[in-house]
Amino acid sequence: MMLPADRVPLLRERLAAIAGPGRVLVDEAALRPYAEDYTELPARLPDAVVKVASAEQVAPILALGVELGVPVVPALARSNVGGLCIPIAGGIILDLLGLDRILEVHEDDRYMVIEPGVTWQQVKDHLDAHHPRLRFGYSLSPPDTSVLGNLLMDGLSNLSLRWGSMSDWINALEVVLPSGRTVRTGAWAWGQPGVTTAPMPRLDGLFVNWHGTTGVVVKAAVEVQAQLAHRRRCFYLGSRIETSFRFINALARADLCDDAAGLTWPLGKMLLGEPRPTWRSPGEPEVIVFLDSSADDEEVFHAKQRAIERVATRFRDDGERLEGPLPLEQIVEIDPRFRKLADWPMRLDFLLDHPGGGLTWVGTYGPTSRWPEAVRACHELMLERGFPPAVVTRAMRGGHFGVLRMIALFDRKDPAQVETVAALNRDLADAAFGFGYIPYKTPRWVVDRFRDRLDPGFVELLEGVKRLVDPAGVLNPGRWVFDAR
Amino acid sequence: VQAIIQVMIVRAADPDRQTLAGHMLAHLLARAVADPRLRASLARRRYRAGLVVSGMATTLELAGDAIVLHDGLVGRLAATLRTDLVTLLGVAAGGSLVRAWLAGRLGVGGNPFRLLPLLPLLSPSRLPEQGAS
Repeated sequence: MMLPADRVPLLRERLAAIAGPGRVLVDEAALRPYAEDYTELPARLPDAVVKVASAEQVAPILALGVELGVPVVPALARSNVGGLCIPIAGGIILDLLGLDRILEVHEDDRYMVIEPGVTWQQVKDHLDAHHPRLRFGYSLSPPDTSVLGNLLMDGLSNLSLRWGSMSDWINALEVVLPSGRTVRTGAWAWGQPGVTTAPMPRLDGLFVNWHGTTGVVVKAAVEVQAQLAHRRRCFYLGSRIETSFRFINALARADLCDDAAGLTWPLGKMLLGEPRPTWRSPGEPEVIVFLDSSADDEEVFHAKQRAIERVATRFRDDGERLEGPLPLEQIVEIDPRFRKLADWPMRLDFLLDHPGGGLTWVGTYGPTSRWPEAVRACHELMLERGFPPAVVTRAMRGGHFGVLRMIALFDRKDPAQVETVAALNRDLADAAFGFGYIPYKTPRWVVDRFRDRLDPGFVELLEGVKRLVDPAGVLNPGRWVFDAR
Repeated sequence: VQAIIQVMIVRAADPDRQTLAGHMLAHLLARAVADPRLRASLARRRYRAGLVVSGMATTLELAGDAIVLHDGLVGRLAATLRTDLVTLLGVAAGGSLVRAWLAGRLGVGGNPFRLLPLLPLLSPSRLPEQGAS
């Protein structure tokens, strides 16, 4: 599907005619940032980048891609840590960050309508300024990255324990197909307010976790939640992995928290400035448990805090060491560096701003019952290869499933480190898969590695749907099982 | 001494062997030595004190123009303070040190007077921000 070199000028000229010459990037220096992301995955330059100025420009650009047989890769902040926007077959990057309007916020029905370029910080600032009765769930992505990108890739947020992974927050979508047809899903299919997907056929599912291979979402109706009057964020320190995860599971079952997450000890030290912690004192906690709880009614709020502590006390009575609660505001008093955990969205600079610049992970969803053994196994693998065993876990949707994410920092300019971290990721993916976990924001290397485990009927249906909506195969080729010709 | 000691270094004996509590303690000390009076007070001391917080032990070696943090309890200690993070945070937030001691949540070993110059570390709101001088 690669465009012959002699046709590149034509492509660029036609794109400029659609979007305006100032919105088409062609110089190598301008294209370079679109060729790669944080990860170890190989870079590939696109033939052109078009910075879309309006949703109306999307259909003619897709039509051009189909006409010339050129890949079109929708992209936002390009920070998905799965290489999903690297144009592995070249072509056009459809940069949607300029579509950045919050179009509607409905306080009573608790949803908002956003364009794909709207960022986490933008939502936070907008709600705080104009709709203080509402709150949103925030991911650990940098504040200047796309909300909708996260939703469409089923990311997670600080409210995922209560409301599930972020695709569960989507009520309706407006999508441009490669045919140029615009489709609306959920309540929007009837032309009604975007309050729900129910009771419509879940056609929004055709665009969630497909990594931009079926259509370009230009607008979405997304749930927001009620802001509650009382909220507390605190830590517990779990001396052992096993204790910590049983504690998180117990809290999830008791329905006491908005968020219950576990960070292994290296992440605490990295937050405090140690670049590659691989040593732990025997007296140190293995896991920092991070809890968020809220209530509108003060009595309910305090009752929740007491109930959380009663759960902790049961563990202590069984001889487990579980220290807390350590309210975040008090920790900030001692060490203001913890302030970066105090409010969402947050920029975890220790992950992003380090000399090597490389950030990669194996992020998975799976059974919370397997957390202890999975975390232990992944710990060992990371230490064996000289990486800090930095693992993030989070209970999702009432604790029905959980996140298991292993994070590694590396030097992108050092080929040996790139190779080592790629090998580590393969080992971690194997281990996590063995414990029943499925990688999310699924990179192609993961699909290839576990291809024989995919149900043949699933693959057949996947390919059939893809052929139906994108018969020319122009949208983000090379994802899932689709060709990258 | 206050006029002489312009800079006091806070460093880890082994930067690869610092506990979470050690990191936080180093930060508190760096804030403390930004205050000329506290700096002068600490610079006058030459001894080691142990601090054990929630099982994480750190030795503070007061060495004149530097404070060196060692992982674990290392060398001859003039005094040792043992407590847990919950108590420490409570005291830092204005709770009573004496009450914590009476409740058995804070233990002192050795010569308690040797701990007195370190007590400002337990009132971080009174310390200057790091980088101040």
